[in-house]
Amino acid sequence: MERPTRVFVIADMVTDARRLGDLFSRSPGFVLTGVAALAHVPAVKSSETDVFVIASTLSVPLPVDARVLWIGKWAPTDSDSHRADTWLGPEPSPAKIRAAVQALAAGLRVESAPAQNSIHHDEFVLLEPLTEREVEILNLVAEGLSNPQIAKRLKLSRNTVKFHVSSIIGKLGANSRTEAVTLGLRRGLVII
Amino acid sequence: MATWSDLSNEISRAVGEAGKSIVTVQGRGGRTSSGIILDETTVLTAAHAVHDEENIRMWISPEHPITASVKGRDSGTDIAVLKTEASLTESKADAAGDVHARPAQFNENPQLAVGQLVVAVARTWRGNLVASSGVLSGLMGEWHTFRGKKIETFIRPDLTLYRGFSGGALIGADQKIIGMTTAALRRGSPLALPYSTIKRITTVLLEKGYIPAPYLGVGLQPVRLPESLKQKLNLTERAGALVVHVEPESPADKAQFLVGDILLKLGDSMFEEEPPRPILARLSPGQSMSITGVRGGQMFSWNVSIGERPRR
Repeated sequence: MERPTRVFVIADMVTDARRLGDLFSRSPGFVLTGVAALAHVPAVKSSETDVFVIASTLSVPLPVDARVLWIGKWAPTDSDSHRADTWLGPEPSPAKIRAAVQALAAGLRVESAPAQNSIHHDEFVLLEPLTEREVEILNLVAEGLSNPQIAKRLKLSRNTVKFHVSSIIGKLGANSRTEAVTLGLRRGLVII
Repeated sequence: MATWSDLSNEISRAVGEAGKSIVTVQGRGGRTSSGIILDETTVLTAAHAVHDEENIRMWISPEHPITASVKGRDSGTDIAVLKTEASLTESKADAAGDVHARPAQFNENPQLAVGQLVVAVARTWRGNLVASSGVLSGLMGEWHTFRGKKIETFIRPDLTLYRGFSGGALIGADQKIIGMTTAALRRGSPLALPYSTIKRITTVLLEKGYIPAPYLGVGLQPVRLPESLKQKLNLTERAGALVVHVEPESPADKAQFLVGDILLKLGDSMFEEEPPRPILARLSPGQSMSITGVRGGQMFSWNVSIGERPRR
């Protein structure tokens, strides 16, 4: 197994920092190296921490080579952000925060989707991936086939197809077949 | 009020005449839709209204049903072609003198204008002719359905397509058929498919049974280009399509697409401006296209021959 990602959390209030810290102390794959209120940040070395998570709009004295995930209403301003690798808008989901931290630790850059596109909060990670059969059926739905036609092609019963389709719609967080196809396309699940 | 009664009689007569080419189609359980007779064994109907492939029944009068099967369908344009075993026009009911089926007369190049009076003609499960009238409320040139398929002319009549009307005919003042009505291409709003689309699609359906769909064989995700990359390569594009999957043996595989390539342009179409599917939908299998993208941080151009989506 890979080395767990070491996370240090800083927030305006220490209670907020602890709450955020819980996201990592309770999750496998993460180690919480510390939490602190903004006013009492101890001298931390970037060699002991992979990613700093900061829920504040104020600047924080940190090592220059630190990897930082900002959470908040505003993106850090330029003067603050000479090393602010990433900003996730206000109140991201726990899954999103963890995914962003892991991506940062892996050396990637993470950006939130623009506000007008952020209707689907969990777009960032598909919590339950589609099965191979579901991907196959999603591709047939994308071709415009009806459930009975899919049933005939794959030699399945109509009810089985119906079950798969509703599972696909659920997993993708779609409201309809058409939306499932659109979301599937955006995720690269629908082969064009 | 001679003008009124003249107009009224003329419309009624036109509906009766067009109705000789309209059949009831039963291809999804008990519900029926309508169909237009193309020749003595061929009927055009709305693909969405036909779920079954075989044992489809159609009639002008329910006492004389004829069995048909799907010869081909294209849900992208909502067109299906049915073939009957027995002749449709050799009317069994001729002796009774009430049924004279005959192939439809299309107006191949109608001079349409917004505001023209049009009538939708269909047939119910009882075999009764039904009509609905209104004016042409919207006209446009070529457009693409939500599945990205081309329709040569956008024709929207301002009338109600009651249940069972889809697959029927829209007729104009010259009493010829302008197109096939369908309620399934624009969220239930009534539309008519023009003759040019019908001709193009049915010709291929009769030959192949399906419309070959353009195919690359890639899974793509929209991505924003990092500022540093844009500056390095002097790009104006802000976004591209990231290759996340390459189907083995597909055109993309043969053209050596790699997972991680960021596609910027296919031909002249930019992935920044449009999702990949409508871009691809405009192309046809066999066409050779140039692709521009970023590979390993460098600009890259290569050619791909658009394939045909495999029929599983």
